[in-house]
Amino acid sequence: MNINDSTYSNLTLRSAQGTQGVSKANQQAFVKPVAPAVDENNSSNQSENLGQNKTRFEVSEQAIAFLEEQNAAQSESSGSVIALRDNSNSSANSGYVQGEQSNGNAQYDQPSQQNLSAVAAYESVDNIAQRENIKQFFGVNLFA
Amino acid sequence: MPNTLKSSPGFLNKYQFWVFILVAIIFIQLPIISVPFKWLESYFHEISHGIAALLTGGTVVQIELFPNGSGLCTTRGGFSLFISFMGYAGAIMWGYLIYSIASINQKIAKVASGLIITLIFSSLVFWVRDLLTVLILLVVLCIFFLQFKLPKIGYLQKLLKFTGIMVLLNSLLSPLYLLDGRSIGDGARLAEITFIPEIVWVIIWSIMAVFSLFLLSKKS
Repeated sequence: MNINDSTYSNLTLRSAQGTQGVSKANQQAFVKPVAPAVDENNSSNQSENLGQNKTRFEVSEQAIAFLEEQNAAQSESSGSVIALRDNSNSSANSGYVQGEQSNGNAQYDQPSQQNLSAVAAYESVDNIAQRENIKQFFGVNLFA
Repeated sequence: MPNTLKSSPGFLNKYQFWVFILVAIIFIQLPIISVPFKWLESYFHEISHGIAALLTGGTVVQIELFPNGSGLCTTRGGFSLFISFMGYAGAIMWGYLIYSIASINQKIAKVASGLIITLIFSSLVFWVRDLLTVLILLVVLCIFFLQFKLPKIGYLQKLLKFTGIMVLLNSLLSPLYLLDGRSIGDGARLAEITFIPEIVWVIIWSIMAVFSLFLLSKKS
């Protein structure tokens, strides 16, 4: 009776631990897919993992370099934000993105007052552009 | 010469025009009292755009007035250059006409007041689509309606002349708001059409207003 009970309790405990382990592994896999592979293969495939990590690091470097090139190309081709705004409605958004990038790519949590005022300015101009579109669409003139 | 000056040649009547100018300058500085007169000038500005559009074969779609004294006239067709110019120029002309007509005699002053009431009421019916403009125009309408209903016709004449001066003085000041470097408004539109800088148009309107005041001072 005692053996059975203890065996049962051990089995129960083990199965519970096993379940916890599985669920934890699933969570990790969902959030960060690379991390469990590094932990599990820590002893056996260390050199292989290092190789993989190195490959990944090289890719991100390339991506950063590519992004930088794109930014440089965009700023050269656009000339000024105002010219873009005049051409299309989506240009206001591109102006906003450009403003963010110029502030260092990392300040996404709390936009500065300068950025906020810039967005407001872009939005107001965008509204003017929309008004122009409406005026042209309906064929009316507005006199203030 | 106006009847009022003939009948009572006192100091106030002798220098009536300058007294009106002085009182108008004080009124313009006062925060609440000046607001209905700003609306009045704004109405005459927008209705001048509208009349210019009608005169040049266009139509008026809508007139909007805002509590801060600004306004918007939406037109379709017409001669854009003339319509743009007539906003400030028209308000100056209205101020000049109101004062001049009210100076002729008391009966004509009453007729003029009635015609202005009819014009405002027509604008309200045909061209106003929003509640805020309706309320503003009702206040403007009250200014003329109370003058019209005054027990002594002599008061109507004086108040109408004072109203003319207020419109004229506001018309002199309002183009100066265009000099804010934003390139928005009639001056900017005229500059866009004619390639003549906005400042030139502001100077033209200012000269018109000063010249109108000068002519009225000579008449009085």
